[in-house]
Amino acid sequence: MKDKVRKIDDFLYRLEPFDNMTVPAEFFLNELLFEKLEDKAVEQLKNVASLPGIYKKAIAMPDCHIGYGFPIGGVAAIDRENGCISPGGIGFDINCGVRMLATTLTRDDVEPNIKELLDSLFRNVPSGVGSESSIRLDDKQLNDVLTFGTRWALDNGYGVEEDIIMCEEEGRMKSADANKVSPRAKARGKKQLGSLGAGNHFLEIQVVEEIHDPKIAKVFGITQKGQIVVMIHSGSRGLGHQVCSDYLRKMEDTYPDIMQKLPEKDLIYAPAGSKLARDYFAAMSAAANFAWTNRHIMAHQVRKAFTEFFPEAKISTIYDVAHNIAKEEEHEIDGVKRKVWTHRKGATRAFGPQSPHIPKDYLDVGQPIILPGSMGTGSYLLVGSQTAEEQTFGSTAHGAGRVMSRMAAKKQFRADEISQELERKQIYVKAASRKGICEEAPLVYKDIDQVVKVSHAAGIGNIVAKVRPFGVVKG
Amino acid sequence: MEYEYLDHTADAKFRAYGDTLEEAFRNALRAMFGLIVSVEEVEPIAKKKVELTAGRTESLLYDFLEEGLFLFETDHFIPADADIKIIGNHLKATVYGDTILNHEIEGDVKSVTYSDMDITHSKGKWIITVVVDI
Repeated sequence: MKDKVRKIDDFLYRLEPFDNMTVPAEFFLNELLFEKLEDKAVEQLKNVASLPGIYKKAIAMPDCHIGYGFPIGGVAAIDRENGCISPGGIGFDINCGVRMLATTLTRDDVEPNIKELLDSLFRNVPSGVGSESSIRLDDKQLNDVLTFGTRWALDNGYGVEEDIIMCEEEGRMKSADANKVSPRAKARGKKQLGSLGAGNHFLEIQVVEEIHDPKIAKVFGITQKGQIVVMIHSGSRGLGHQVCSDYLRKMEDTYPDIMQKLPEKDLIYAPAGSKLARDYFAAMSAAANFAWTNRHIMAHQVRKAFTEFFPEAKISTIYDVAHNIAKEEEHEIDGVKRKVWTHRKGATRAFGPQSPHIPKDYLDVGQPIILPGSMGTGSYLLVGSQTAEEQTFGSTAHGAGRVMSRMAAKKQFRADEISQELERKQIYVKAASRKGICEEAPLVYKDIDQVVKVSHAAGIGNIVAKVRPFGVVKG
Repeated sequence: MEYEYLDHTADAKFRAYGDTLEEAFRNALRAMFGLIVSVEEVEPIAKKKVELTAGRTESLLYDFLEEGLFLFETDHFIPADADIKIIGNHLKATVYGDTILNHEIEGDVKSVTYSDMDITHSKGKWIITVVVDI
């Protein structure tokens, strides 16, 4: 399949429509990243380009790799009246995403206490497989979280008003309906609000290493090299996975004829206009609210831990972005405004200046985009653009993207060696599981620098600053 | 061989074998929990009943493995073994295992997927292939 993909320019490849494709598939990649792209990922994006109601093109972000249903890094805008919504275009971890906090501290301030601070974060933010929070929600409270998102957290003493404003959707999708979330999903989520989880999820104390655009960086609260920032990468935990599973199965049972024809079963969808499409979107929105509240509460714990050591420090939210989500958006397509579900699976929204959907303080510069990298390398802060809105329905990459399987990583690396290697680079790691360190070893990821380079060169997400890890809490 | 792991870049893929469909289901469950704990070391200290109906054998497998994850997350129970009876698209099982408190957790499985899922019967052997999201 990959041999059918043609190079358009230095940062764009295209697969012209054939078979059932109604639109082309486009890949935002440079030569290096194209080389690493799997054939199966191309096939998956081809399948996306065959979905009913898809507009203009199916798009792969620079960090695209094999997923299930959609490839990871897959974006599609699908008509809300004549198209469909597909849980496989959103992902199991609904609203897996990243929150980034700015502090008024520098590396020199934190260095003497880094290990103690890391211990404190590790104690106060539950992490690891099946990790549970100290917060116990009753049924009504959980429904409130699902309905009101971060507003619930604020009303219950977590965080400050600015945390809500500086969050995609202000931490609440009004389309949420808690009644569309199954009792099983609620049972899984009940004890997990305010917990990190495992896998690639992390909480990092980071140091600003490079500032590429000082003017925009300043607007985002980043003023100097050496400044300490914090990144929280987590999602909707078991609740979101269960919502995805529940609806995948419901759609399969309701539409066996659609299922039958699909080349890949995780691509199952509910046709626009159906009750199931409405219900899924309402449940997905509720799970998204859970995820934002989850990161909001962890940020609150981070703030508490920091101020124990540094009472004078101010910690503010730069922004919080979703990586796995569908949004009801309007995009101008061939001169006509269309109501679509923008599916972003392993992709970040990247709206430009003057977008009505971003915080007022960022109107002149555009929406912050947060790209987490791997433990040994760095992460990036980017900014959205008009070009992204025109080229990718306002989307860009979401991170580094894996190149090595977890299995292979476990065979190849030893946890203590990786920890030592990182410590030599002055990166300190606290992990719930030792094997978790191997699975997330720096070498298992694509070079995030290349991913960001393509995003920037293509103009779909422009570099603002690069940060490097200093202290890492891993699940 | 009960099961083996295959290479997969972003997720985990395994193949489970059995002389009967039931045995292949059991081994698929063990393969999945083998990603989370050392499944051979889990003693059958407690048991739980599982009963499921689904439209196809694949969805029955999907639901069965999902049920395992649900028990793991909500009851802290590791279902490491199972007695299974499958009639048509109906499954009845008793799963055996232990609480997670007695075991070191080595990995995570977020969800079962249909990606590359395959159930075949050839030369008297059942072979199940599954990719799970981790």
